[in-house]
Amino acid sequence: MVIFILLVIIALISPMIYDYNTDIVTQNLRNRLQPPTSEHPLGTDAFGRDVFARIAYGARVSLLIGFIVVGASLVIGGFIGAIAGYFGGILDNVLMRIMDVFLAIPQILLAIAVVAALGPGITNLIIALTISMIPAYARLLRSLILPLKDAEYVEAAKASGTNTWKIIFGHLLPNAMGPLIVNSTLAVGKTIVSAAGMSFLGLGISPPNPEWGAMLSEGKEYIRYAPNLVLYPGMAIMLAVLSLNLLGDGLNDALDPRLKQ
Amino acid sequence: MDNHMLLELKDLEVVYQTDFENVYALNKVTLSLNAGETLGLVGETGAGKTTTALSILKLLPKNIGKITGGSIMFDGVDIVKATEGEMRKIRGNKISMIFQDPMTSLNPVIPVGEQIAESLELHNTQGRTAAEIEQRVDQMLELVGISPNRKTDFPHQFSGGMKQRVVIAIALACDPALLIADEPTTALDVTIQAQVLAMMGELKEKLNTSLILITHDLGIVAQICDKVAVMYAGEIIESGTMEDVFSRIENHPYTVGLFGSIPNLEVSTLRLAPINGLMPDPTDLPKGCKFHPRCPKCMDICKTESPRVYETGTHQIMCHLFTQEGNVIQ
Amino acid sequence: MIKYIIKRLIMMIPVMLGITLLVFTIMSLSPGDPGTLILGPMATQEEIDAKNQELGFYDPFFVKYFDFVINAVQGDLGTSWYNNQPVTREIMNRFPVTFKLTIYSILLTVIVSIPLGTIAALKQYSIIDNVSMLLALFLASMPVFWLGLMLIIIFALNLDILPATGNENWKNFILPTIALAGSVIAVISRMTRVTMIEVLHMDYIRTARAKGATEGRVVRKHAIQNTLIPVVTVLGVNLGIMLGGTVLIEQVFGMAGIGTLMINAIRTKDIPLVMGSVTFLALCFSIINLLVDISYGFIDPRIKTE
Repeated sequence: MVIFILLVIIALISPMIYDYNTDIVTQNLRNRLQPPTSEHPLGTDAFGRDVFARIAYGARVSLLIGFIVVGASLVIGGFIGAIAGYFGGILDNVLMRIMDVFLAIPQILLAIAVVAALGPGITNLIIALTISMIPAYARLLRSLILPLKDAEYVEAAKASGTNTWKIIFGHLLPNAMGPLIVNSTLAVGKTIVSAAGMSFLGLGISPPNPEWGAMLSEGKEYIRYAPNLVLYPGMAIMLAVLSLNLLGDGLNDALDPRLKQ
Repeated sequence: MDNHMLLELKDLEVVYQTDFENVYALNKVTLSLNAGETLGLVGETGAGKTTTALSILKLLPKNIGKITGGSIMFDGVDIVKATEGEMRKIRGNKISMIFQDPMTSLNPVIPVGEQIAESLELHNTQGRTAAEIEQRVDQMLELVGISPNRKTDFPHQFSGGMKQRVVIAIALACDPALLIADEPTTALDVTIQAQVLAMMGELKEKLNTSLILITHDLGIVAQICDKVAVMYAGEIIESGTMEDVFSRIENHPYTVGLFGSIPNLEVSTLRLAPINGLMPDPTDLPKGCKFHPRCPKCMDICKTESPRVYETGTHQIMCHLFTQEGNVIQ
Repeated sequence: MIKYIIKRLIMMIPVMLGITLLVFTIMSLSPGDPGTLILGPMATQEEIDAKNQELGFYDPFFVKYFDFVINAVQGDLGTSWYNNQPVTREIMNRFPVTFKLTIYSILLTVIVSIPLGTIAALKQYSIIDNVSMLLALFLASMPVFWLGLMLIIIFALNLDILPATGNENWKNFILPTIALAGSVIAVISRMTRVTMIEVLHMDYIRTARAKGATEGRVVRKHAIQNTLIPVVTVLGVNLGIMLGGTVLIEQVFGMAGIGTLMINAIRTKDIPLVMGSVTFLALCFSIINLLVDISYGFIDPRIKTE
């Protein structure tokens, strides 16, 4: 939790300390591959750029991608899952079989295929990761809605003539919120890793933009001479994901009524 | 019939210790049972019936449940002092237990025949061969009214009542001297309940097994028990033979309340008389008689002093109502 | 049981058709065309058009799709636009590396995580439990490719005891296998621990203890199999993540597997090769899922007798 807040703060204040153009992307070849100093706390990379500044900026990119992708797949996938679960029947069958097909392809592979078709870049990366995450949310929402839809307060709402959409979004969704929040927290972590993986493969955000995966990909070339170039960005990813996982676990315990005394 | 004393609990105390609090589950429980007898252990949920049973098998939850005082003599052995190794030889062999919920007490991934055979294999003192064990399994299944050719079936292929029969077969496989049945019929349909109970009574007679029947249903007690012990808040507040308790000449007010809670066909009443209030919090038991906050006949002394035991013949009642009029022992 | 397997096999057919349709749709969004790629930048637009016409590139979508499916069923995944080689042959050349890497990682996961999770559950809150679960927490948060890079730094560059790249002999597979299995081991160990603790509180475990079974027997005979039921399900999901991870691991360790083939194909805009690789890996994933389901049938009798 603390780490996560720290990360968000770093992501928010980094543009105030470092200027994007001069510090983050401009090459300074006289300063290349410096060991850590007081001026450059984590050293410099092969183009003489400050590693810490780039990691701090990378936090913005990663968190942004994480939240956009999870938000978008939550809305789209959640909508599909909610209507499939609520209406059931043929609609449910058709939608879920389509989702099964998506799920039959390993997530990162699906994202790779989409980027392969659309080309790299941050927008396409976000589209690709969102597409690959939609089916998981559709399934989740459906499984959350199914046991709720026959609950008595739903019957009561139906009986009093409440509009169907109002039942789904006003009555059912709020009751499914707990698992949804926990799941989304964990999903942001997963997305950060996937995004880094895609960039590492050269299919996401490309250098010189400061993205953790892209930095690892660049650093890999100099692994023999400057192992810290691959050490620190990876550690940043790990800490971000770790903090999200812990946050998710914590929320899970806090929201689980069985554990509430 | 051999009538020697089989089991004797004396001043047994059990505490459940958690990080936050101590739960005083059993407070000086004293009980005895002769060979071949059936004892009904009656009381509300949380009175300490199951804890008593688990103590006898020394299967209290690890690291939490502890026997803090008293003794449990079984067949000349003090179970409180017995080692884990000695206990394993007793469990399933000399003392068996039937648990409350047949739906969950069978292992879902092991065929029922194998589950019955397991206790036989574990306690193979007679040196049975594999074929003889199989034979015994068939015999046990027949005994509880299940066709032996179903022994390769899995628990999920049986109904609730059938599962409980399997559980009984497991418990009786090694001809135990004592069988403890913890609410064996609560989870079953009423018609199945009667069948299972009748079968248990029959088998008990046939095999001369002693039985402790844990229940909250006085009707069941009346059907098959020789002796009754009524538990409340970790204490035995009344015990005696069936006649002692069910003749209703002298009863603990709590027992009177229990009788009031069951419908009577002979007397027409407008409504049942439930016992008001709830069981006391076992982490914070009331002073004096533990039943006094709910007792309709509560006196001043009940609030300050623990009652002593009033005894007439085989009948024992722990209540100030009786001890004040003399006849005091101890 | 056989009926169950056949049923699962039949269910695979529509899923595979769906996968090919999905992949085909995604790939048809790609702006590339074979003519430009094959003939190079010197070709005129007329020549490119003629080549595309010849290859059926301008055919309607569904005609192309049906051609693809009919050929795919016969084992022909098309021809590379880049080097004119049959895609199937290219994939089969690379398959052993990916296959070995995946199988080794699955084995490593099962061998390490199930005993580890069990021990941690039995010795709850002991040092071994706390240390291994803390380690698992970190491991589960590491990206596979970064773990790979770290292993290279430690074992190949600093200690110099294992090779960093290549796929020639078994030594080459040690680090990639550990890297690929790492996070899955963490997930499965934690899952095994939690499930085992839950199972040990079940009534049937108490029944087993009441029979006089030793703790060892209780765990081996009564608890393990019940623990495996949910663990295998989670393992199945994670094997998909593992298969996707091979793409990254092959890049990190410079291994000539299907992942590397696919990434190179993306760089050269060699659509048939990308499509073939994705379809093939998805097929592998379906087969893995099928195997998981079958093993599930062996572990859980409720499925066998359905």
